[in-house]
Amino acid sequence: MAGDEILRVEDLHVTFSGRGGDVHAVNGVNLTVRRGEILGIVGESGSGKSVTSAAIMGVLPPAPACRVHGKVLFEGVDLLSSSERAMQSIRGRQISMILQDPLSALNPVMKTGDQIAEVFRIHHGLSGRSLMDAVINALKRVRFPSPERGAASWPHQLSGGMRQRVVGAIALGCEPDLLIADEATTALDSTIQLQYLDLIKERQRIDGLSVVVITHDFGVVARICDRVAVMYAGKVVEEAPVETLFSGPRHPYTKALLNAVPKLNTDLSRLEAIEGVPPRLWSPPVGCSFAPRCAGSVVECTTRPPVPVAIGDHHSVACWRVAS
Amino acid sequence: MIPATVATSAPKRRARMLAGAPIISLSIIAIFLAMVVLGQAMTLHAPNQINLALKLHPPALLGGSWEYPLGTDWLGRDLYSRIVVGARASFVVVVGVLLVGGLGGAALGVISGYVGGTTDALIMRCADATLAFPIILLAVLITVTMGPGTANLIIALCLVLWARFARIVRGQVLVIREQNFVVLARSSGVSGVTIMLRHVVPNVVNTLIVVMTLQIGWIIIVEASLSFLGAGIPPPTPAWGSMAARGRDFLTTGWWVPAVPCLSIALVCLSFNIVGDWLRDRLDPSLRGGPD
Repeated sequence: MAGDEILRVEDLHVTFSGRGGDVHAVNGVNLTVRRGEILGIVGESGSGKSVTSAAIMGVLPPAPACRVHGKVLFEGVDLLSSSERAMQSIRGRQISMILQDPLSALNPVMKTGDQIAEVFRIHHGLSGRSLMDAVINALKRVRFPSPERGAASWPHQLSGGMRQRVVGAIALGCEPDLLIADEATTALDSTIQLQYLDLIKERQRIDGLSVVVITHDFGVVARICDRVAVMYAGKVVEEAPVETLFSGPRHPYTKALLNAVPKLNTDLSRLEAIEGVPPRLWSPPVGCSFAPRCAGSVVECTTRPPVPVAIGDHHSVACWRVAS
Repeated sequence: MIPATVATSAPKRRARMLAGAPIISLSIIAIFLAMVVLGQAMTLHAPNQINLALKLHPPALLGGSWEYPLGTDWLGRDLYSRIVVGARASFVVVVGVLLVGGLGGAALGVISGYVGGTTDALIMRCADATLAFPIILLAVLITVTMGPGTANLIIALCLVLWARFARIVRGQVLVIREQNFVVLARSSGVSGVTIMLRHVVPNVVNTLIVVMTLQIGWIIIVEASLSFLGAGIPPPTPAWGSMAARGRDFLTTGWWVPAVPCLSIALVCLSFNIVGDWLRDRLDPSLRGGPD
């Protein structure tokens, strides 16, 4: 699991200007991804997971609608201060992304083969026969049945799972170093989901691919992740290796989240819900953003934001009660 | 390339494509296009041939002769032949305006929608200003200052029409550019210009075809209105609008003289609009046949 860092996100802030004021979608996120590691980011809707991934890719809307602060160091280079041209050669070749909805992820008026071919044309300058071979190979690598037919078909002729494989073929085509899978399997049914996750795991094992898996599904985390970061209201509240997090969650939000997952071995008539609603991101609370929903909050929680503290092997928590 | 996996065979699909087609409208358009292409070859008499002995001769079905199927005007000129020749004048204007104004407006719409920001604001405010202006007045103003003539008429109509195309296309582009496939294309390193040309533009083509068809009728009417007002295609070239304008003096003695060009305008415009509506339904990509 050890190894050098491939991605380091330092104090990332993303603010959207909206009609009702600024929306602080991401509030000082710190993350690291080591080479060949799969990091999971979990959290509920609106916790800033997807915005974080879009910020890493540099595909957020331009200023002044959206402002980004902080650092995204990829192989030591700050992506946030890189030029658009430099980013274009990084995207797709070194970092690539898979999004949630496979139905809208492909251009409806372009054959799938042509869409896959695009990355090879841009990044490897391929054309003609070799381009065609690269496309077929890319489809083979994501276990696309009958890749030749797949390349010649239109997106609407393929099922959701097949389309997501095409998206995977595009994302993994140029053998990137880092893959961001933003809810990549959420829209797929569970058997396809497993196959897809195994596919990603396989690329990690064989090519040493580093992956950031963004999900709200602990099942996905348990299956493929090495480490997990739990996000709440635009902040990372707890970060730990998967086993540690599942066996001993320390942050009250993580505990509550894990309690909300149905278990096979206990007989519960009702699932535990977390009381209250997430904070409004246009006026985040002064202290810990989870404090209003936290059963054990103390005075300090409402006055000062908690700082992450290391409490064990690679385990850090941002909570005043754990820290004291 | 390897043949695509298509559920239905090509002839079957063609049959399905034509199911429910507006046959009458398509026939009228076919006749109109035949007039445009064949021109003089379809006429029975020279369009400007004066025959005072036969002036205000009624159409064949109203007691006239088949020698002059749609009757004659106040100078004894064959109305049918003049309609045939006039079709080409209308068509030249339509094609010119669609190619320059329509495509130009669409291009501005794509840029406006995709680039956004100040560029968008600038283009859209210009479009708003154009749309806020009374169309006929603006066109009359332009043709009067530049002088009548087909080219000037086309320029005048383009200056008015581009804004409609720009607005509609921009609206489409705003939807398309938020789609996942555009985000994914960006995150695989495709440059902005390439995304615009390869991913955005092909997705607005359907809309563009429909809008163009629906605007043909409008162009013909405005061209006719301008000719009617004397600011359009100058005589002696027969144009439908000016034929109606000159013919209105004979409403009591020979009502068919203004009625024939007016009906021609109405039929052709209606047909283009009906076909446009039909195309809008047909070109919906979800109707193109899926995995079934």
